[in-house]
Amino acid sequence: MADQKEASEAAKNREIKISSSDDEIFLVPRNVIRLSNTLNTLLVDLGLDDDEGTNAEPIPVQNVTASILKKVINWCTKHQSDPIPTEDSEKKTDGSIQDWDKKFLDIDQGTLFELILAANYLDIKGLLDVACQSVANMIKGKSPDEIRRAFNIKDDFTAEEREQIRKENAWCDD
Amino acid sequence: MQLRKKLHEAIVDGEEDDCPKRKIKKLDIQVDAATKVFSNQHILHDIIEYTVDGDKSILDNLRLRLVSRSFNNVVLSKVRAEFKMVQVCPYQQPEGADEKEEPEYDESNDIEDRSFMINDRRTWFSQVPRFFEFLNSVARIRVRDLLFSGFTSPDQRIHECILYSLLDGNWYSLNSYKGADELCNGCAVCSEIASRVSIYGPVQFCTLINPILGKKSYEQLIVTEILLAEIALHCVTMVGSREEAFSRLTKMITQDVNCDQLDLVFSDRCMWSKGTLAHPREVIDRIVKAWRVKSINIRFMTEYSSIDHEMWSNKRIFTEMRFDEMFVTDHNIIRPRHERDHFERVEVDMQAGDEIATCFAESMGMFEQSGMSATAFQNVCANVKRIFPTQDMYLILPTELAHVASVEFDGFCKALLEFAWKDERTARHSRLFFRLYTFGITEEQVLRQTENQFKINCRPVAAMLSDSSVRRSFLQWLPGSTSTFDRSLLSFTDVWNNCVLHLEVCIEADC
Repeated sequence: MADQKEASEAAKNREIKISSSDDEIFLVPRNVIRLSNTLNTLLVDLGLDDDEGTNAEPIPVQNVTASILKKVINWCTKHQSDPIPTEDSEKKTDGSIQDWDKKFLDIDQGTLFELILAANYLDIKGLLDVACQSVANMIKGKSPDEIRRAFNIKDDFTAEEREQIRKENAWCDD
Repeated sequence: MQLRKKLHEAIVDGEEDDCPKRKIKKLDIQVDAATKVFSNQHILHDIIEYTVDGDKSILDNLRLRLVSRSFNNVVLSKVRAEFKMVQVCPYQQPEGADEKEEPEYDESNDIEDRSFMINDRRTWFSQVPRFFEFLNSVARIRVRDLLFSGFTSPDQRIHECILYSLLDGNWYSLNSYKGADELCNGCAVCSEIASRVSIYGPVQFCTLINPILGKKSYEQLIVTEILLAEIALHCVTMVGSREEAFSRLTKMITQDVNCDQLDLVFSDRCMWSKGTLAHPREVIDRIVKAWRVKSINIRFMTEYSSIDHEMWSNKRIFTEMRFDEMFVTDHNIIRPRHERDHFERVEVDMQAGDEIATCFAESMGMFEQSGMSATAFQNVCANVKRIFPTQDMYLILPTELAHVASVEFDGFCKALLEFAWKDERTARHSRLFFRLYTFGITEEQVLRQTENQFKINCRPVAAMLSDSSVRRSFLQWLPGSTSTFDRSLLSFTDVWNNCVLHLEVCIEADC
């Protein structure tokens, strides 16, 4: 038990060096990194998880810019004590988002979508879930046309295809 | 020259937000990110899942198909996922419902337009053609698990509607087929399906007397006390000797069937002290042996119907087995201990056993005497273990006990030990895992049990908090079923008899 506690404290104190796609370097506590399955896997695969010090060469996070990576780290830092959700974890589909997360996600759409892509790439389930929920809340109550306009989604249906879908859906309008 | 200088100056001196280049770049980033998000099926799946309210169906959000091809693909995949499992129930009209809810009579077809529930969705027969056409032709569903539930009388119209319209005759994809006995007395299609699925039940008598062609391995079969009684009655009717009766039993329950898990469903009326329901012991033993059953699931249900056991017990050929009986002796089945089969796992589900809960509460001095024996339930564990020998037994306590435990947790623990270990001999060398769903109990109340002195049959019992291995065992049992509860674990040990009882207290989390 004492050994486990010491290991836990060491994990908290240890910092991992990571770099963004635009080569900005961040020092992130190991305990914060654990929320990212992608980075966790990299640490293990590269044999860096057994080291106690900071890695000399930064772990590259190629698909995420510094501005987004900074936000991701901020979210993970806030939630570092949360239990790591699994695929079986129940999703909250009632639309509710915690106040801190709600404020954190009060950003422009472009940044929100970048955040979703980063969470997906880094496999941070908690962040991905709450960000997707935020988008879902924007979709609710909107017509298909309104959804396309709100998110600049291309309408890739032909007129015939659209009409066909309407016919196929007609059974539930009865 | 001046013109060139002017253009250059405009670019250099422009505000950052007004710079055309930056605007284009920013817009591209936004469009690009949005496009990536909405074209990523995995991400879009999550977004749409959150868009659909938790208590609604994807069928209530089909308009999302019109947003884009990606949306359409994800929505249809969700329809397919939703209908992998299909549950069909009779429609229950809510109290105070509008008269418009009454069935409509279609004069042109001279057929009453009734409704039923399919996956919690009310569906009228008149809607079926277009609805099921959508499911089969557009969404291309493939039903894997089909369950009929709640029907009190045969209903061929619904039965055929599901098999021929919904499944479109394609029952080859079915993996599980349950509850058909509620609305079909056993048609050729049911028999055909029974021969193809991995999970089937309740097994009908007609399925047994018309043997399933070829050897069949089942992952799970459900057998009710009704079938047990029907088999026993068939075997003892118009026979000249005991040997002839057992010969019939052997011919009916053949080794052509192999079953990994046997689910046995019993009425919990075994708790009544008078006229206790009996079950044919040898029939159970034959099924378990011939089908090479590895694990047993027993379910006690209140008000589960059955036929009169005296119809077969009067012949005095098969042993009457009762779950409330003390010191059951196996006069006809005496086997050396080393030859007894042991099951890999035995589970007992008493969640729907209200009568057991009532007896349990009465044994604690709660509620007025209702005519049932307050101690009869104490033999249930022992009899289950005696009939289905196993070292580990997992038991879910009645839902009705939630309030009982909440009111008097100390007394509840004492009564539980009585329930489990009254029969000292049978209790030896065993581990019992009990799961209790309750509310309002604090961790301190659970912890306090470790300070109490427990005794059972004058034997001291030690109470302590469970270790991590026990916690893992509970988590692996019906994974996910306790994820929304706060859990506290206690272990009670009878060192003298080498037996232990683990209690998982699942406390409903406060909102």
